[in-house]
Amino acid sequence: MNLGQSLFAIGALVLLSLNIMSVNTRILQTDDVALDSKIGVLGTSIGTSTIEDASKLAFDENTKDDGVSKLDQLTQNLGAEVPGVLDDFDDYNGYVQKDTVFTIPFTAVCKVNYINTNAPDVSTNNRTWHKKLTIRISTPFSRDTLEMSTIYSYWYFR
Amino acid sequence: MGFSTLIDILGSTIMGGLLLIIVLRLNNTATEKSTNYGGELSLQQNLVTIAQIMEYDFRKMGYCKDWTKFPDPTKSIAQASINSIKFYADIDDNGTMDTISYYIGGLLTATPNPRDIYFYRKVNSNPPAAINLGVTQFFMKYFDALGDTLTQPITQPSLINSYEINIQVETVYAYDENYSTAFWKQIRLLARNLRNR
Repeated sequence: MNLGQSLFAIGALVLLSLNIMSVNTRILQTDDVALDSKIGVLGTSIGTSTIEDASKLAFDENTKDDGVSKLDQLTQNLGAEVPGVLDDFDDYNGYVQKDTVFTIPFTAVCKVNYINTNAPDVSTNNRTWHKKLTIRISTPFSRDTLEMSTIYSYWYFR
Repeated sequence: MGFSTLIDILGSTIMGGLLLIIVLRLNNTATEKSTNYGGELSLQQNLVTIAQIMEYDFRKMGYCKDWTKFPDPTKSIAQASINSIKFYADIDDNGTMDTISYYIGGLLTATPNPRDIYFYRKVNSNPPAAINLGVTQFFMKYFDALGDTLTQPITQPSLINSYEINIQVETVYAYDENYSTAFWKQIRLLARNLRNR
């Protein structure tokens, strides 16, 4: 085997090695994506469950028992009046929920803002008849953070 | 043929053999992964399909277009157990209350997966529709208005205020019997009409 043949053989081996490493990298990347996707399904179920839980509550601390007709009757500072007691929708502001589903730990961080209907993506400091709950769900097992939101508006039966 | 030529032939044979083994393993891995990814895709699509069907039905629990036909939402759930539920909902929005049941059956024998089971959805007196999407587990938990877990068997379905649906789905076919698994756990999905009490 002369020098030229040896170089060709070494070159072929290098090419083959690079190809195999590239295939392995893609396989691992696809494994990651598949796992992220599975975890995403669980994260979504936690998010929708939290939204369901929040939506069953009263719109505001002041609307739990009686209706209100003026905006200034609503709470200005959003958040739980008594720490740990969630009895109206905006109590979820700043609420952190930790869940473990099939050994995968999830952390859901909630935020509630007043919004205007003409710009629902922007929060406002003024009191309105609409509140937006945004939940960010993360887990150390996934690179992605899921974000879900819902808008809850005030209404009552006359 | 000299000694060095023999060494060359022996060396190249060994190297060629190693390369052949590497390529064959690579091919094997590629085939396995290709099958698994295809399975994963259909698995997650199956799970999402089941979740969508169930969320649609469960959310309408206790709803009737003509509310006078079903004025008491506490009677929305007719029967509830760990592996089955039967409830009333006007799912086709025609003003007539429908009876919907979800329950599991025996093991599926027509598929290679030894764990997948029949999962049924039954509407009124129609024959049950078997959902053969690789369901391997289906169980429910029920909670009262205070959020406490109701013990099984549920003797008073009217106490149920919220519930938790758990579904596990596996691939029906798998390479080398390595079945992929996906879970869906809807925690405390509350039917809006169950709150109106």
